Amino acid sequence: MSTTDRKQPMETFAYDDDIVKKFSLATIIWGGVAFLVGIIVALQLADWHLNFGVSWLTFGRLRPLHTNAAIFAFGGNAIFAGIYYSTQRLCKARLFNDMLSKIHFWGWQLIIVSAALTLPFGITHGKEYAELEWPIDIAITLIWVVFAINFFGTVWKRREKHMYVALWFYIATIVTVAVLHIVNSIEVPVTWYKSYPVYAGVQDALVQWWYGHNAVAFFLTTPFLGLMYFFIPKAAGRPVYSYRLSIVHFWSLVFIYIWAGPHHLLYTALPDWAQTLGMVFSVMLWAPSWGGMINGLLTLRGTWDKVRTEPVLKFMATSLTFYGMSTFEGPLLSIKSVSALGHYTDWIIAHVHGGTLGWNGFLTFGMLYYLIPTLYKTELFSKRLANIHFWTGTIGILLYMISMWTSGITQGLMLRAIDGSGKLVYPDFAETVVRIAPLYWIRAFGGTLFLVGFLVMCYNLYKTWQLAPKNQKQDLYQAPALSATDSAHKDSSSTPWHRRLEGLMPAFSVLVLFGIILGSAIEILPTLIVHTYAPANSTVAPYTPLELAGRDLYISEGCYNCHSQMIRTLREDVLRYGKASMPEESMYDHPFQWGSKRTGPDLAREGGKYPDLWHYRHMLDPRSVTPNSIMPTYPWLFDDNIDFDVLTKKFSVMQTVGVPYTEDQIKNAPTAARAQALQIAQGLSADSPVKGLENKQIIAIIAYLQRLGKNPELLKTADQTAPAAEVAQ
Amino acid sequence: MKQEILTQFPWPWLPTLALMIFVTFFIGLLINVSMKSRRKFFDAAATLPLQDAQKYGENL
Repeated sequence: MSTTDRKQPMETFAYDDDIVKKFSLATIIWGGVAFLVGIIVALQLADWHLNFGVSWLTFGRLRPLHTNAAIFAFGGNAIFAGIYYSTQRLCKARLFNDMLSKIHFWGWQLIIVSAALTLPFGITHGKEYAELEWPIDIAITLIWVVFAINFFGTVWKRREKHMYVALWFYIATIVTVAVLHIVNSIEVPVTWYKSYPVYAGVQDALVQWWYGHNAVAFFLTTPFLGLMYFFIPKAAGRPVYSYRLSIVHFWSLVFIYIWAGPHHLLYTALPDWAQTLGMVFSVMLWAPSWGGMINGLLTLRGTWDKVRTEPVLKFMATSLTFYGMSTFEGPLLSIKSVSALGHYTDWIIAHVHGGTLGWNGFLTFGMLYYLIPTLYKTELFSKRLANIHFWTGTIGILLYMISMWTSGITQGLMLRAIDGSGKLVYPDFAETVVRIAPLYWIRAFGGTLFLVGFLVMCYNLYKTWQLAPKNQKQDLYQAPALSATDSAHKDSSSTPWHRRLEGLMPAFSVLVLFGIILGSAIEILPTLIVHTYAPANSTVAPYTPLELAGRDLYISEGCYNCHSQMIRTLREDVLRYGKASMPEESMYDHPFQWGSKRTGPDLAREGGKYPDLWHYRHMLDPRSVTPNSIMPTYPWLFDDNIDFDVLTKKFSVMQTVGVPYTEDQIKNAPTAARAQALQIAQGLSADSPVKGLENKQIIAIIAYLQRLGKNPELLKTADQTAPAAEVAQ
Repeated sequence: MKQEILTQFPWPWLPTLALMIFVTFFIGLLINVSMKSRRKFFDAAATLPLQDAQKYGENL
């Protein structure tokens, strides 16, 4: 029974579209920032000179800014705009509270500005897509709660009994993102801008990729699917192709997605069963993902002529095609033998940009082309400009993806090439970088085309806004109240149970929470309780104070964006970098530094590979020791001093999170660090004319790099028990 | 180490149980949505985005 059929008293109300306009504008502004920073970092990879030797402009610091701006600023504001617009229409109710809407909007913008002011200055957790430090983490939690209250409050006071499928996806988003963010961000502060996560090593890796993977699932997928289920039928003027399919799509996606995180950790030190579980569930994801895509595309049956002429449908139909492509590629990359080739290479970069630019970007553009004329009660200024945007953007994405596919597969094949005598054909990592570097220019060009298309859209929407009639009055709407007799618990016994569930918002939300907690528990519980059934190996020594200081600088500079510290059990990895990494080796790493991309070589066994002077020269001018390197220079490390005094507090916090430092070690941390720094500086002085470096940050970085992989007792034990390296088929 | 962790994990039934819950729910859901009698509910629900609230002053 539809709302208008009911015999209840009519209520008059107005939608809060001001907040939708605000979030739409923020989407456009932050989208510009995200895309521009993306092009800068793409160019920096093509030509290292573009790092300019300036700390806050370096790739390692800007890359997290790009990802955060794209995901949380552009994507975040887009989903808030779309959710607030569609929820009000689907519930036939104004948003729960105008003040909460305002707090949500300004709070979220403040979080984004905080990110922009901290990440370029090296204030970071060093956990991908969760880089923001603890005060900002708390702010995110509070603002998310505000969003949740506002959303659930609106659904609670709705005038439409039935919760449409788009609302289910929004519920899944709100519930799951809250769980993911809180669990992954449990950390102990050292100072206002530094903290250590409570998890370490394998634990941290699992929790982080459970978060990272599901951030993609529940921040970049489920809310956009909800928007798709609302805006495509709305723009096409047709109901969704199959409501049955949407039910199966929703529940299978929610249940399955959460299990798939370990596919980011294949061939690592993660237990085999967890890797296999992640792989199997990733492959199973094919079904619901394609179910959703097919449901969206078939909604357009009978209106394909409109797809040719209407920008909204054109962008949305194409976004669904990119969604289908990305969700085919994701499970494919999760198959262990494919992952062996593609992981750590640009293939993954192609995959994620197909998703973010094609799926999230184009769906958002389609939504904006719908929202701006609708909200301002006018027509789109120019369909021709929208067409130019469409084709510029599409060609840009394709150039980006094809160049990165080529780059990733080329480098992956070169890195695994082994000759007849069992030796690496390309033992020098830089040799593979030289081969793919020209493709980085094509990628940057593709990204620039995408930005140009976006700017055309900005102009088009600005002109549309100018066309809007002046002195517009707020529209009022009427709908019958949802009385107690309408409430879902009064449904007759013949009403299908899912239909009843769709009217029960609390029960629905609890079921979603159960589904994601079930999958999460299976994925991370065995690792979280590992200390209760597997004794810790005492042969691994924690970091010295100077090494810890160096490690924090390594994280701060964003070295993990280009260097992994995880030698997989694959033959090519073992031949190139040494013995496969073991779980114990990162047991005191808060946070873990396994990385997700190798623009440079793995560093897990870097310690002792080169003398201190090599590292000194390498950080000052990488080309002086590795002629074809594309690494930036780090001149400020030779000027800035180590903060020795904070080491006592850092050691104390490390002890709190489980690193076995003694009270004496904590008390004497600054003294011990100074002594080790002096020793390294004197060594450098003996080999070169370099003098007076004992307080400089470069010394701490050298201490840390020389420590990596140096656990003689552990390696000795591993020699006796290690299985042979695997060969991926 | 990996094998040690595997053999010592104290709740090997946990992943199996979770998988069974998931599969049972999924099959139940498939059967439920496939029933012909559900059609009118689904058809009505599918049109919800197209049912705008009445503008005040229109058709009253």
